[in-house]
Amino acid sequence: MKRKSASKATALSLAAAMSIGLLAGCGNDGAGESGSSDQGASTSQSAEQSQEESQGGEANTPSVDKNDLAATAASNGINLPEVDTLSITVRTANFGTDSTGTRFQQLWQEKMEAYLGCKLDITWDIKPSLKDMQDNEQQLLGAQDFCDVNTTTVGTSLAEYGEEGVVLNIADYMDYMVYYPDYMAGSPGGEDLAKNQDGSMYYFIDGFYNPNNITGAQSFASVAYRFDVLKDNNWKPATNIEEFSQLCADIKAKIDDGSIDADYVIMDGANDFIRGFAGIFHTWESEYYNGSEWVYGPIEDNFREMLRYLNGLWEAGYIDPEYATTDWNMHLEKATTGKAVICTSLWSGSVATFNTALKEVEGNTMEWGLAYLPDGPEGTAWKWGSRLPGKSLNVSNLRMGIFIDAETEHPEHIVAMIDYQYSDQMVELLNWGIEGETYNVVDGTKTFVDEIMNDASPAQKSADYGLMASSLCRSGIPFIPLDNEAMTAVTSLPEPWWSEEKGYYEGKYWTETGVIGGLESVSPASQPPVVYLTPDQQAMKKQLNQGGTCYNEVLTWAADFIEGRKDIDNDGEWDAYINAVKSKTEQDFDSILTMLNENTVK
Amino acid sequence: MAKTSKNAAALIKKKSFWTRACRQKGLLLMALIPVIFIFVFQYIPIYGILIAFKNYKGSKGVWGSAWLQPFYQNFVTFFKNVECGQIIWNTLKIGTLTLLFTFPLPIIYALLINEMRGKTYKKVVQTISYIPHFISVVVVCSMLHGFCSLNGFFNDIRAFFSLERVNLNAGDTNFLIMYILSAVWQGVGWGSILYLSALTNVDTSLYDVANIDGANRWQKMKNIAIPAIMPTITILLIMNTGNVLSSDYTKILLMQNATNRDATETIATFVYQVGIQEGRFSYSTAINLFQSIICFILVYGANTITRKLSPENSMW
Repeated sequence: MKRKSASKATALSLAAAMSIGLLAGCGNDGAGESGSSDQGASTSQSAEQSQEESQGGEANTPSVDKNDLAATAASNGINLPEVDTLSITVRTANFGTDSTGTRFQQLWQEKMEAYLGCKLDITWDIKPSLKDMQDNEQQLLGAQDFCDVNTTTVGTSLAEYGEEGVVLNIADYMDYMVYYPDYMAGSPGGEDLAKNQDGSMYYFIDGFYNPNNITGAQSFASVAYRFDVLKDNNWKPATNIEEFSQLCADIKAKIDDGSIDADYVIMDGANDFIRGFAGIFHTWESEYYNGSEWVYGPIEDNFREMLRYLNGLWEAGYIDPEYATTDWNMHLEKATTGKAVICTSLWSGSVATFNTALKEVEGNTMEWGLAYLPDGPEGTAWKWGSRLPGKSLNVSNLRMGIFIDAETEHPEHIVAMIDYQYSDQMVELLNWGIEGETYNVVDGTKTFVDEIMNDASPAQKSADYGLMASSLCRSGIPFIPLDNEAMTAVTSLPEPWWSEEKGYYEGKYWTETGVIGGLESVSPASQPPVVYLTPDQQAMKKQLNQGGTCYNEVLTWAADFIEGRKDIDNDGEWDAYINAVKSKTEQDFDSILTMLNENTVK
Repeated sequence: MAKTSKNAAALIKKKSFWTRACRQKGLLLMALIPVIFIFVFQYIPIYGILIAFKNYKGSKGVWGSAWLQPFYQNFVTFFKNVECGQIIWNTLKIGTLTLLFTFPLPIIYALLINEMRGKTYKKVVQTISYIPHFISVVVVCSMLHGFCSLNGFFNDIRAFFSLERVNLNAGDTNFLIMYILSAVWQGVGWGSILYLSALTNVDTSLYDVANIDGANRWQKMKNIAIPAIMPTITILLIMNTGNVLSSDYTKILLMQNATNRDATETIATFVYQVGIQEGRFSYSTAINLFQSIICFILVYGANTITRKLSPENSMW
C-alpha cells in the first residue's frame, strides 16, 4: 500500500513537472497560418468543426478534463480493478531505432504508471523490423500466437479473429476510454470507421494529429521543374494546363534550337505516368469515392480527357519515349543528367533526392524545385492522400494499430493504457519531447532544439532520443498518433518551391501542398465514407484496386492511347477498352460498384 | 521341413538387415537429419493444398475452414477467367523457349570446356562463367533495364552499327529476348557443372584407343564424350520438362511494364497477384496446384517416352 502511494506521488510530481513545458505551448493554434487566407479561413472552420466533434466526444464523459496534464485514470472517472503490478507481454517491431532504454521510452513508462496507478512490468517481444513483422503476422494470427498487446499491420483483417473470440472486442470496454473517441469522432464516418457493422471493434487504429490543419500530401501533389532553366528564361511553373501546354511548347522550341541542353521536356516514372495528371483531371486510376458515389476512374470521361491531353503532349514530342519503362534508377539518372526539364507524377521528396545528388556534381548549375499541380478543366487539381485536419484515425492506412488478446488477464488496464496513448500529453511527449530539452517554443511555434535540427540527420537524432516524429523510432506501444508538425520538422528538409503568391522560395511539401492547394484540393477519395464489406466482398473490391486485375489492363491501354497506337478519339476503341477492363473481373464489373455503393454508410 | 527352412532363411535375412544397419549406423544417422528436415519442411506442409478446396479463413485454420461447394469451385473460377487462356499460353511460351535455349547451351559449353587443354585458362574461363549465377535476379534485372534503355549499352552497340536507338525495355518481343538471354547468361556456366563432372569420369583409355585409331576431336566428342554424359542429359531433361510451367515470377515482375503486360502475365505472376496482393489464398493455391499437376504429368510423360526409347536412361 505504501509502495502504491509512493508511486502515485512520484507520478503526480512527474506529471506536474511536464505540465510546465506543455502549458508553454498552449493557446497558439493557427499562429503559423499566415501563408494563405483561403487555407486560413478553411482552417479555422475545420478547427471549429474539430472542436465541436471533440465536444461531442466529451459529451459521454462530462466530468473529464482532457487538458488536465496530471490526469490519472481515476481522475478521469475510470474505475480500474486494483493491481499492484501490471505484468503484460507486448509484441511490436523495431522501426529502425530500438526504443528500449531511450529517455522517452522511460518517460512513457513513468507517465503510464502514473496514469494507471500501478507499476508496469512489460515483457517485450520486439521483431527485428516492421517488414519482418508484416511477413509473419498472418501466420502468427493463424496460429493464434498473441501477446497481451500486439502492434498490428493487418488490423482490417482482425474481424474474423474477433468473431472467433480470440481477439478482444474493445467496444465492450468503451468505459475505459477517454481520449481515443476524439480520434474516432474526427475521422470521416466517425465511430462507424473504427467499428464494424455490428458495433464491434477489434483494434485501436493508428491516429494522426494535425494541430494546424494543414491538409498536405506527399505524392502526385506537385510537379517538379528545373528551376534553373525556368529562371534563366524568365518562365514560371504552370498554374493551369493551358499554361502547362504553352510552357512545354516554349521549352521544346528552346531544346530544338539548342538553347536548352535537354533531350525531352517531360520525364516520368514507370507505372506512375498517369497519377499526377489524374488529379488534375479530377479522376483516378482505380476505384474511388467521388464525393457522391463509388466509381471506377479509368472508365470515366475525365480519364478519357486526361488521356487525350497526354496524347497531345506525346504527339507534340514533349514526353520522354521511355516514360512507361523508366525505373527509379533511370529516373534519378535522367533528372541529374539534364535529360528533361519537367517531371510530373512524382513523390515530392524526389526533388530533395535529385538536388542532393546534384550537389555531388562539380560545377553543377541544375536545380529542381516544386510547384503545386496546375489547375485542370474542373478547377483546382486534386491531390491524393491529403492529411485530415485535427485529430483523426489514419484513414490512409487503416491496417495499422494495436489489438489485445481476448484472454489477457487485465483487459481494463490495457484498454485504458492504449487509450491514454491518444492523449494530448502523451502525443506531445513522444513527438516533441520536453520543452527546453528537445524543443523550444518561439512565437507560439514549436521547433526542435538546434542539437536535433543541426544534426546531419535530424530524423535519426530525434529517434536516438526515443522521439517518434521521424517514425525511425516508435516509443511507447506503437502506434501512437504522429504529430504532423513534429513529423514535418524532422522528416522533410526544405526544398525549392514556387507559388503564384510567393514566387520562388523554400518550403516543405507536406506544408506547401496543403497551403497552396487549399481545402478544395483535397480529393473526396482521401476522405471516403465508411463501407462495410464481408471478406468475400473485400476480395471482389480488390479487383478494382491499384495493382488489381483491372489495373494492369488500364495501364496497357493507357500507354496505347497516349502513344497513338489506339485512337483516343475513336468511340469504338474507347468502348473496346472499357469492355476489356470490365471483362477482367470474375463477377460482373458493374455489380462490384453497386455492391460498394449499397454497403456505404452515408 | 520346407517351412522351417523358409523361416530360417527369413530370420537370416532379417538379421542381416539389422546387422547391416548397425554397421552403417554412422551413415544412417547422418542421413536422418536431412530426411527429418525434408519430411518436416517439404512433406508435412503438403497438407496445406487442402485450402485449394476450402474457403480458407486464417482464424479457422486449414482444418477448421469450410469446404467449398462444390469443392472444385476455385478451379472452375480459374478456367472461366477471361485471362486463363492467355496466362497458360504465356507460361508455356516462356517456359518452352527458355528450356529450348537454356538446356542445350550448358551441354555445348561443357563439351567445349572439356576440349580445352590449358588447365589454368580452362579454370579461369569456368570460374568466370559461374559468376553470373551468383548475381541476384534483382541486380540482373536492374542491369538489363540500364543496358536496354535508349542510352544503354545495347543501344550503343546498335548506334555503332548505325542502327536507330530503340527502347528495348518496351514491347512483348523485347521482353522475351531479354528474359531468355539473361537466363542463358546466368545459367550456362552453372548448368555445365554436372556435365563437366560426368565428363571427368570418362575412362581415359577410351581416348587413348581413339587416338590410336586416328579419331579426330569431333569424332572423339561424338563417340566418347556425348555418350558419356547422355544419362545426365536425359535425367536433367526429364526434370527440366517439369519446370516448363514454372516461370521465374520474380524476374518477370521486375521486367514487367505497361508495354509488355500482354506477354508477361503467367501462372506464377497471376498466383502472386491473387494470392499476395489480393489475399485470396484458396484461389491462388488452387491455381498453383493445377500447375503442379501439369508439371507432374509432363515429368511422368517425359520419363515414359525415355523409358520406351532408352530404358537405361529413364528415372524409373
